[in-house]
Amino acid sequence: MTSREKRDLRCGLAFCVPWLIGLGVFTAYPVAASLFYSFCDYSVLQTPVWIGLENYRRMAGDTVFWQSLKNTLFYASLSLPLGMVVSLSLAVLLNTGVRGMTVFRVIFYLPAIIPVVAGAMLWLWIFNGQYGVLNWALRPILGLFGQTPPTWLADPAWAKPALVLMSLWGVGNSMVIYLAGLQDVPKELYESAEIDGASRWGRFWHITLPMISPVIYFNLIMGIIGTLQVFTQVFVMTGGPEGGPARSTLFYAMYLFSTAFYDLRMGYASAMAWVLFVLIVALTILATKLTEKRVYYS
Amino acid sequence: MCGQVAMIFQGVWTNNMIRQFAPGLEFGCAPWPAVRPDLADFAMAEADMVAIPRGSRHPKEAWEFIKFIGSNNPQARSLDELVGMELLCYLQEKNSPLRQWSPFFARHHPHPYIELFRQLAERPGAVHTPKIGIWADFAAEQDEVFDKVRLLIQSPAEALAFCQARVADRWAEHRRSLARHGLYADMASARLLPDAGHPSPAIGYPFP
Repeated sequence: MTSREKRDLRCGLAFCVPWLIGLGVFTAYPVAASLFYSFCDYSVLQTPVWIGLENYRRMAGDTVFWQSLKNTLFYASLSLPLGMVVSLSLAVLLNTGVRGMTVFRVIFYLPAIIPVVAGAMLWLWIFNGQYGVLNWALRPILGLFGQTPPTWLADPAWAKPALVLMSLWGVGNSMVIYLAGLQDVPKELYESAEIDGASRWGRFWHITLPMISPVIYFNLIMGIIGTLQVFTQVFVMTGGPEGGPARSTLFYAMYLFSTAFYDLRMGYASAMAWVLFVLIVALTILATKLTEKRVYYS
Repeated sequence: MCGQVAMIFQGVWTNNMIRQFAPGLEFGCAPWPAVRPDLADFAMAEADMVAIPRGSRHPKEAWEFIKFIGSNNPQARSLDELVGMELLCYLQEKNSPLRQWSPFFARHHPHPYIELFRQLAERPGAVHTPKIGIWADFAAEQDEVFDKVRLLIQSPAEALAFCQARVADRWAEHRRSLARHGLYADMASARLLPDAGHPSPAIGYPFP
């Protein structure tokens, strides 16, 4: 190594050091610490005491833990596919080249840049059972059939579907990613398919979907990670970490948060975090295995 | 509160809210209903704590404020003569925690049912919340009981049984944790949890 190369190496390493320190202090250490604390009785205020697998054993018998997991999986299983279908549909519509398309793109993307808490407060009023605009619109329609609209967030049966509905408000990010993918599909493929007599649906099914399959896969993985960690909007809309009414909206991340920062059971919360991590990794691997023959990379 | 609610479980402060958000609302206050005579006149007495944190930038002024809050004029006959705790409680429309109320405070309090709250606070049914580290956890669990019963998800007996089991489990865990950290006075028995000698706090404290 020449002296110039050594100097360049030192210079390069010096540039890397701030990032390495950040990685160590803000990511690697907390991750390692949380793994250690998951085997400890730790309340933050006292020194951790090693208790082996007790936190994990307690989790197995914790009915509220299972309820929070069930709520989260219910939400994810509805919100994720619905969100993917809606964002892809919007992206296809916004890729048609109609006049004023930029304006439409901005309008549909706008909700994604609204702060989560502000959006949650807005939806809180939309879902208000008595004064909400949604029930204002539904009341006359359902009245024709002698029915009344649900009270949404105040009803344990409707609170989770309401949150799923609200999640569609934020599809702007994935829509933009789909849009980028759609614009990368070569035009000549559509032209040759059209010459061969392929219908619109045929072109979409046999050209568009396979060509954007990596984008769909990416959004699927991001969606799994995001929906299993849903927190802020539910926390704001259901008035705290208990996930009311009657814990019907107590999601995993909320139970983890309340365990850690309300009950100060940081050891148990760390164990919950690691279980969630394992669950996300397992679902990601499963999704990868199930889609590997359907995702095409050019 | 808007013609659809017959009764809410609330505290003395609700009058202030009604005056602000629903002025003119006709309402009345009564003790919590009880089917057993020994549970009549139940009331939870909670208090705010005022402290000066170490490193406070204005400890002298803070101490003056605490002294003011702790002061009282039991002879006060007008609003101008009210001081300290009674003035604070008058403005917040709450009952005073002091045993003796001044004539002005007792006769001209803005809360039309303040006498009821005064009587409740003096009766044996008035209890303070347990001073334990995991009380907030217990209180949240009891809120769940209210939700389940109110929404007809479970019968009161089922909801309370679930709550009791969960609270008992948390109580045992809390004591084990204290024992592990050397903070539990009776460490020997704490290791033997659960045991009959250290029953968990009953739900709906202080109900048996």
